[in-house]
Amino acid sequence: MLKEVKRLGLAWLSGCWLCGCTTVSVYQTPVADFQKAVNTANDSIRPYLLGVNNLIAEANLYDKVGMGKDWGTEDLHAGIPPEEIQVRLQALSTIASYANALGAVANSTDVAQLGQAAQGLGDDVNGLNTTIQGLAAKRTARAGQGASANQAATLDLSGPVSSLVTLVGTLVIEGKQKAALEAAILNGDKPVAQLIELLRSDLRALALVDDASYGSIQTGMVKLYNDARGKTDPKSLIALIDDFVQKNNSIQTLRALQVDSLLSDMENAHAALVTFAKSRKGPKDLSDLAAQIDVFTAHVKLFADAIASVQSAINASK
Amino acid sequence: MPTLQNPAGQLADVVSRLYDLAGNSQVPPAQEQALWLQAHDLRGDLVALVAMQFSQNTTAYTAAMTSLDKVTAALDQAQQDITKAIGVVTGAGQLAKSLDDLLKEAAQAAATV
Repeated sequence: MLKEVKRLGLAWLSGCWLCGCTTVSVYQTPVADFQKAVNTANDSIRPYLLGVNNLIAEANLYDKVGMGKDWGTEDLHAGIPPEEIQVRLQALSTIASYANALGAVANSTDVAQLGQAAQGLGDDVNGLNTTIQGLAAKRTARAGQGASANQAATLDLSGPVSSLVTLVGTLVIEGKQKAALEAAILNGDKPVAQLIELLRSDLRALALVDDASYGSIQTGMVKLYNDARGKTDPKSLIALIDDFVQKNNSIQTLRALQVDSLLSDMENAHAALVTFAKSRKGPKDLSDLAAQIDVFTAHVKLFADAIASVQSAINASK
Repeated sequence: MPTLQNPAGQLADVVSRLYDLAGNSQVPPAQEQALWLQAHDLRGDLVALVAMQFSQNTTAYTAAMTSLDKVTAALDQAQQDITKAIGVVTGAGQLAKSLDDLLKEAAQAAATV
């Protein structure tokens, strides 16, 4: 811990010595760490979102096994409309783009690069805004398909996105890096935090759907393995039990993952970045920021490792 | 406007427990199938419910919450004594009807906004 504080203090002093305390250099490492963690977290969340409907379909098929009914095409229909998944993916991209823009601003040396970073953020924000505007009509069109279809997993991001549209429309990048970076962090603070918070609550809700799907799959597996047991000779039963336990472990691991907590840590790390921007930027401020970003980074790594272990167990059993 | 508790959290727990009970080797086959069917239907309702916000304590909302409490109590009883699984089947059927009413009401409310 002491070593870490010394290291941060040295980094801060080096920043002062090289460029003066008012330069942007003190931001570079924490912003780069935040940017990397946001991108890695999003890489874990994207397949999760894209997999929600697959999991619903898989559970439908297991349900039919349990109910003793034939499978039908209705079992494969998407539980959550694709456009509702799309808006979440775009919101994640916007958050990543914001983090990437911060990183680019912290590292760039000329106005053109800063402008390019702002442009990337602007494109994502405007793209998300267009999708949100188109969603209203699609939701109305779904209204005729019954209560469930109309209401499935709707998410309203219009508040923060509207603020971000205003921000990217009015953001003027000044020649001084520090001023540009601080403006981006401070002005993007509230809408980005709101966006993360809305996604966090939403992911918590979607996790309930996933958990119910896993409940079906787990019970379905018990039934199928029971059926398989009746056709297995005693010697092969050990392999069957091993296989069953391994599959069950994978499901338990996936059920235990709390994807929304990744966004809680992202929210905290983002808030710490803003607090740092407003602080006197002393060694203590920098170590507080680094600690918060380290928590986020460690959590992202744990999550990615858990997914990788399940994936490797699945591959090994094939 | 204050937001009421979304029944989705409790419903997700009920659905998971229904599947768990359906997979219990001591439950008679007829009840197993009924439990599985109810878990399947309620899982469909869950997809619709998760993103909803409830601000009015309507009759449909109150009935759904009461049904959820009843089926949760029945599941608790069945956990102690598996012969009481039939009570869960009855309770889950009532819950499905209550949730249908709640979803219809929510769809109508959304259409009038």
